[in-house]
Amino acid sequence: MKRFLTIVVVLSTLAVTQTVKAWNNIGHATIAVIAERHMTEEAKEKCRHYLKHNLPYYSAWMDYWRNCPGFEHTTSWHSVPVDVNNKQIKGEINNAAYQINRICKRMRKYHKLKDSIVADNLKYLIHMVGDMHCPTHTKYSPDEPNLKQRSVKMNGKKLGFHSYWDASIGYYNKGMKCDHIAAKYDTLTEQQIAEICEGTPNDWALANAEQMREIYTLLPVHSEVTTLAEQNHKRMEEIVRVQALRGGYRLAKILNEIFSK
Amino acid sequence: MRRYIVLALCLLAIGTASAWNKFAQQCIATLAEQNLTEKAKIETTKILGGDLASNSWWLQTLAKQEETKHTASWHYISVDAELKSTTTSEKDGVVQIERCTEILKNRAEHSDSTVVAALKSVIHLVADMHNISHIKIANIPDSKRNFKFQISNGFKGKKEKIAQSSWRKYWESNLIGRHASFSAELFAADLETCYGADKERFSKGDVRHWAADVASLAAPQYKWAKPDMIMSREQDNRLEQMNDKTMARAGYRLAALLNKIFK
Repeated sequence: MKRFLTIVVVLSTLAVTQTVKAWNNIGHATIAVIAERHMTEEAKEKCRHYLKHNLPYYSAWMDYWRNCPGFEHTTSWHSVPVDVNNKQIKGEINNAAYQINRICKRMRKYHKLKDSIVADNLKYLIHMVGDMHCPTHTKYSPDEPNLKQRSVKMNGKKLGFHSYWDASIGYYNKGMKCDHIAAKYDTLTEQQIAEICEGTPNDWALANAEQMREIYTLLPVHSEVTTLAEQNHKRMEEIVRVQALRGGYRLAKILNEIFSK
Repeated sequence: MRRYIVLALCLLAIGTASAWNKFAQQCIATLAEQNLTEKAKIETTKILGGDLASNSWWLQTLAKQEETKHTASWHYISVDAELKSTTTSEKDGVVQIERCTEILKNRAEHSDSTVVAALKSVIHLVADMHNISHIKIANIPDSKRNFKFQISNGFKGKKEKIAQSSWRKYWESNLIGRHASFSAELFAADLETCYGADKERFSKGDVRHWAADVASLAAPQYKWAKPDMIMSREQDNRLEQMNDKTMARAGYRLAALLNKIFK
């Protein structure tokens, strides 16, 4: 009960103070730190060579640039649109999984690309691999109105369902810095990590689409977040943790593969 | 001697000032700490009873007391039209850093509290003198005031949001705020990745050279920065690198100064 009350207080406080966008800054930075913890020395060194920074620095880069001239087309690259069978919409290039695949293919010959192009591709990957694992970044079909991202309430005030989940890592880890959250989350065994990293971005998108349907029942439309059942908060917190880990481990896998060649 | 007693009293009392925010100060101090020699680290820890970062905000906390309002001016530096720091005014940050440096070099002649105050002041003021909005340039009136302006989120139409800011708030907290979710150690590690190769170049010279160097980065900003302007998201994004650049310089220079004092 004490823990639940803490969450309620945290939610109430952050509702006022936190700015939300995508997995917001702390979420993206946490995922990037998790990734760095699992990258090979070679991959880390290569990323630093091209980015001139560590991974977390550019983790929210796409969000800052999406509204700038020349970057408008990337604004729809943050999520994965799927049909009623959880399959990606065929031919839809405004899709994070599609763009990740495209960039991975291009990066197979990274050494033949200009340094600035490699750097930009890395910035996209760092962000999009994180974003495709954000619980609300599977865009379900309009044919499923119960999966529409409507608003909820926090202390009686309207709050976007999407915004709530984007900021959820911060909500469930009040006062913590991204690298401390990453250390707290990152406790899986090598075997568990290997299982998470199996498959391709398309497989991960499919699994996300199957599993993230749950969040719409855990946090129903118009519900009051601060008075939600403790068991719902516990489950939501677990989803957030697992999705952050998936994003981090899989990002590391992608970068390790790119730079092992 | 009397001069030092007055300084110690000033340092120990409370004043009002503007500064790089607490997180930025901690990042700069952490970067400096990581670049201290073993001897300097031992000496500074002995004097402070802790690390540089946890003592980096002290001067700022001396705020809001009537008797030391004058310390507010220490957080800023003035340069002439050629961007040189030539002032001898005790109101100036550079002069205060020089004065505190002398106390620390001759620390055996001073009370413990004076030495502690001097070291805490150096930590804070070396950082603050590297903040773009803290450089007052003789022939640029806008550099001497805290003007208001607006920042666009980049959207057009209904989604466009305009945030209010001020020149100092922007350089003191808006830009570094993008990385507020990092620990100071994580951000300092990033500065090291990005600017580690330049540390020797940054550290050359003395505090007057550093003032001229940071003034050379600040002066061009006033060609585009005007009161009541609306800053584009693109411009906002590009300035982040400038902020990092000055923070890295501050961290490496603070380390260089302390290494020299405690050699």
